[in-house]
Amino acid sequence: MSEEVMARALFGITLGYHITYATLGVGTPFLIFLAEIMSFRTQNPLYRVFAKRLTRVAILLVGVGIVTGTTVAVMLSVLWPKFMEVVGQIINLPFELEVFAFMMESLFLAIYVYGGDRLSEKARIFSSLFVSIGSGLSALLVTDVNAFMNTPTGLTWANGQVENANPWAAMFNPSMPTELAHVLASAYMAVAFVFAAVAAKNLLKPHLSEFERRYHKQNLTLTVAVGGIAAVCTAFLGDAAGKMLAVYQPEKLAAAEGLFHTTRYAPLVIGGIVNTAQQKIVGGIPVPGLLSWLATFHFDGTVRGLDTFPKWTWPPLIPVHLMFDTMVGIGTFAIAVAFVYFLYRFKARTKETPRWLLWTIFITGILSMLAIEDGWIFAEEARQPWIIYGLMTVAQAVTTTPDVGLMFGGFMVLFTVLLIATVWALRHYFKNHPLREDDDTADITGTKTDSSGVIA
Amino acid sequence: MNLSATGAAFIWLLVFVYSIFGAIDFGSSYWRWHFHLRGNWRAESVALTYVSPTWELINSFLVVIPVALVGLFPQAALAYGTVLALPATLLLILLALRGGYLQFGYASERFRKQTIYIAGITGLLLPGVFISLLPLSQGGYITHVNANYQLLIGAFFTSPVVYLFMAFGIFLSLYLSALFLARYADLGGLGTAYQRFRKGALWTGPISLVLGIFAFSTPTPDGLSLLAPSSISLLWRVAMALSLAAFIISYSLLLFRRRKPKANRTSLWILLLTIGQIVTAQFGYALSHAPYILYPYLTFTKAASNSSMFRATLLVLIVGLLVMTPALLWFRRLFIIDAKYVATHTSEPH
Ligand code: HDD
Ligand code: HEM
Ligand code: HEM
Repeated sequence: MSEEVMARALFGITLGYHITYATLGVGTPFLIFLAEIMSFRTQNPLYRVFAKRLTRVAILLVGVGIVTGTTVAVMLSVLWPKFMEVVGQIINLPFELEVFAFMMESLFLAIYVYGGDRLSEKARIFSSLFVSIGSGLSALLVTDVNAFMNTPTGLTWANGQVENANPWAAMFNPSMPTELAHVLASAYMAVAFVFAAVAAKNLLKPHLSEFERRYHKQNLTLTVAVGGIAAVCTAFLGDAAGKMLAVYQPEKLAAAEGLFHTTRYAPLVIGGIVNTAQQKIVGGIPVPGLLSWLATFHFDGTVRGLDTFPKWTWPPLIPVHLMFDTMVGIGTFAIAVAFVYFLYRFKARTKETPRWLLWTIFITGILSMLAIEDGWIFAEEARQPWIIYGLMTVAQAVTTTPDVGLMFGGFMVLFTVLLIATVWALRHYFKNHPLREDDDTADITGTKTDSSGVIA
Repeated sequence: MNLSATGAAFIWLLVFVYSIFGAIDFGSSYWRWHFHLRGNWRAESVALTYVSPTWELINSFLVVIPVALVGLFPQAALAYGTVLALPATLLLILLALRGGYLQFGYASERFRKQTIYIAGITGLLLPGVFISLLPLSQGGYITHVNANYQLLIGAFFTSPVVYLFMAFGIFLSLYLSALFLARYADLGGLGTAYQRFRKGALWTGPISLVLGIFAFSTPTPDGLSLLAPSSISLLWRVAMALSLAAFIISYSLLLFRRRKPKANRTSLWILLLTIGQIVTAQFGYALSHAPYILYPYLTFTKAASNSSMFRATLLVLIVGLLVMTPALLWFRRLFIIDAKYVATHTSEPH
């Protein structure tokens, strides 16, 4: 492997790893907030139990998320020094603001967790809301740097130097609104389906007590509702992102859809393998006019093809098209699953949710996390060979350090250890703290139910 | 003040705030370990009650510093980023271990024991690692060839001044955190724990002072001389004199206050005077170090960013800190100055 490929692989794996923790770190506090609200409105203690158990997950994930995130930050400077030099001159504001979002998140998380029974019901809602705002903002602000990489504005680029810098214009770049909204919606969707999958998996177990059944069923309904609504928003905002691409990054859209020639009534091709020699997609299902509609709101709209761009700037076409279709496919599937679930509940109120549907929900949880990873790899890969679109290529930004191989090995070990420890700690905790009706919900840290009674 | 001086002052302020909170945080984990080994669970649980809610917040404060540096002085960020690639990885691993264990410690009893050890050892080492950045910035350990900065790792790790600074950082952190925890125990009305931390402060205080004086007056090889006549201004003399006076007063208060009458504010005064001692000493150090951010290659003026980024960064950081203030105050009321919280969370038996 060349240094550049190794650097890209290391960075991609690191971010792919961080994004799992980060996405869960954004979605879980939001669910905690919703559970607190539900508990306040219904006075049903089951919601407090849910909030408490989610909080345990959040504490662990946020802690490891901080460790992996700090790794990303260091790696960004070490692997792409030339890129960071540009960041420092023009798009550092989101990173600065993000620090305050983190501060807000960890501050209110500490208040929510350790405040315990000294917090009133309202104060708990308030502090969980701010944890959720803090983690959401922190995710959106880093994503904004990525939006700048896609559509850089607010500077003149002269001989590899930033001139006439306008940091505010760079921050409010054209892809900011759609990209941020789509990322937030997809995080809420994915995390809601992950916890729906947990509830579904538990309902599939034999020998559930009446209490456990009630608890998991209620969580299933809450999470599928959140996931379904968020999935619809994700699809709408994804469509908006497509329309943004048509204007500001037509090359990316053309690559995603394997469109070689500028066309009116352009078809959307589902699946299939892009064939560069024949300049078309082989084996997909074309839907006439849909791509034109996706890009422009008109079936007869014109969509720019790849042939209007020099060939050396084309991203790898085959994976990009497949990854795009996978993302859209999973989104559509998740909407359908949520729809079927609620259809069943309203049609057959008294009956149990059928086992096949529980299994399907379980699989949707896994798929939706995959869609997050897939969506990011698509977005990054389809920008190739650029690191900052039109200004700087990845090859220009990469470090000259010869130690990338060493770092690669070291970090893989660190990630493996962290992953195993996280899974182990979660399992261990929930094994030691089984779901009980008389759970002490006032004590979120769970310390009073421990044998030792020490707070740690 | 011109623009880059404002930025330099701001960076100094951030470093100062982090050094105080970080020293207390790291030192407290050390004291927890220390008293755990000696079976003094009351003192141990005072340290623990303080560490649990605060470490994440303090960690997020640490991130402000490199981010501010990138926005205000990108050339310095580039230089430090290059030379620190390896040392920063080490630091990261120590922080990661500490953070990971503080989280995983929730999961089981077995992990909890290990957490005490890991957090204690890293809490002891980290202040030393952080403070070694000071001799690094004073020059003598970095070369600059073909526009590339390089750290002379051998020279750095065999230099006695570096170890002098490290020892100073460790003892200062122990002293400050012992004073802080003494005050914390005092709030909760815990007499024995108070005595333990007071004793801890009594022996670490003078050592930190002596080490500090030596570290300050020993120049790094080919480096900046902090005591050069040009850097000793009247302001410098005043700052240093105040610092020494603050130490003497607070230390005597500590020495003569063996028993504590209820609701006495002395332990607060001791703490505040010591923080005053550190501010004035750091201010004096900053004056001596002044135009250079990395001796002899970079001054603050030379490393500064374009003025629109510079202004925007200062604005964002200052407004951000102001906006966070009410939340920080709420946090302080809940965990730091709530006597009932300290008392109830520390008096539970094992
Ligand atoms: C649960 C995850 C998920 C799901 C179901 C979808 N997306 Fe997505 N998508 C993402 C998760 C995601 C993401 C991970 O959040 C990305 C990666 C980079 C980004 O900005 O957001 C993304 C990027 C992304 C982009 C590229 C934006 C850019 O590069 O600037 C487009 C055009 C779409 N999406 C469109 C869609 C459409 C039309 C969907 C139809 C249902 C869809 N996505 C579902
Ligand atoms: C602020 C946010 C981000 C920044 C600054 C950023 C930056 C970069 C850079 C510099 C590269 C190397 C160039 C390249 O190979 O494309 C890259 C690649 C990559 N990034 Fe991102 N990225 C961001 C967000 C993400 C996120 C959240 C993910 C989620 C998984 C991600 C996944 C990847 C992957 C998988 C690659 C490798 C792609 C390839 O090999 O072509 N990125 N990113
Ligand atoms: C767009 C993709 C990203 C998202 C959605 C994201 C989100 C988050 C979130 C929510 C956290 C808080 C921890 C948690 O709740 O789990 C976090 C931590 C962190 N992230 Fe990311 N992140 C992304 C990419 C990056 C990148 C590219 C960097 C590098 C600059 C980065 C740097 C950090 C740092 C430094 C932390 C720890 C902060 C602290 O110590 O307080 N993240 N990230």
